[in-house]
Amino acid sequence: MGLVEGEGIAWSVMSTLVAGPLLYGLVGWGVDELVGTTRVFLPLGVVVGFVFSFFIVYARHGRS
Amino acid sequence: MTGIAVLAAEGDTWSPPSLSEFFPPAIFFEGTPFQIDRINLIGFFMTGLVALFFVMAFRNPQVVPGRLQNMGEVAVDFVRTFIADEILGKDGKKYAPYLATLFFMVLAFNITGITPLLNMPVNARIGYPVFLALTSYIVFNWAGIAKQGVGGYLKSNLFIPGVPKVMYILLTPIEALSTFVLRPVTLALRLMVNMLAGHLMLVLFFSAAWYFIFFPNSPLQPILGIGIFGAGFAFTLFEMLIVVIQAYIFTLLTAVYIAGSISEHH
Repeated sequence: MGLVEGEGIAWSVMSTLVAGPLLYGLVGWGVDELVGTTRVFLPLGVVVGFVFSFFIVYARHGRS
Repeated sequence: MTGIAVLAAEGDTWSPPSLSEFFPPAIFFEGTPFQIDRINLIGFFMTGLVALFFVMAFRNPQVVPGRLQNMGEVAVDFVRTFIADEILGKDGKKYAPYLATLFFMVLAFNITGITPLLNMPVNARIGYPVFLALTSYIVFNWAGIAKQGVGGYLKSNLFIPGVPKVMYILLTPIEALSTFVLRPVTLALRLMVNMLAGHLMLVLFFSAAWYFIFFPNSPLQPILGIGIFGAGFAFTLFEMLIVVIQAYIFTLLTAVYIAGSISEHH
């Protein structure tokens, strides 16, 4: 069953890696709109989202 | 095939296919939310066909199967062996009926894109993949909740073990988005975009070939048209592969999500 479990993990890792930057990019864009800047917090949010996503992947699957 | 070619080659001007391909004129109940056009009719037809096939195959099952029952058995066994048993193991039997239905509905709605005279993949209209993704969404969430209870299911999905509690406020939205939003959205979009793109390519090839062969502006164009027709033929073969692969992926991912829901996390 290890093979099958691996497949499920692969998809969940992929969707986590997409969801993080997507969500925090959106948050960053929202902050941009509120503060009035153009594309300052958006890339910041994307990077922060990546960091969080990597952390989630590590926390869930990296340690044993 | 002539249908799409004539549609695109009005008179002597040719325009490449646009998204209006997917919005044919309404046939019944025009103006109401229930308006029915050609694509809906094809959808009804394929639903009836798949239902008819499986009802006829298994209506009167014999130990030594007749031809139709044999085909039905091969069909269901394919999904059960390669998707349900492989991904879900001993729980595969419980979900095999749903997965088999899902596979054959996606296949039936996809394959209309390459059948002659129909030439329109029903899954190119977003409503159909959305509905199928929605049923898969209900199934995999229901399975998880039945196995672990509402609290347990949400906890195992949203809260990552071994993380300082403060981080939950930042990380849980990511997990929620990834599990409860991205899964059904990507299921539906992946299917619809593949079918939409394939259909546009096919219309492009064949309408261009028709235009070049029958309304040439220079003597070289009919030769080009024959070449384009050949490319269109090759692309149709490729599209056949895509049709089956997309049905398989949709069903496989549904099974993977169900397996993820019913397995205890860590």
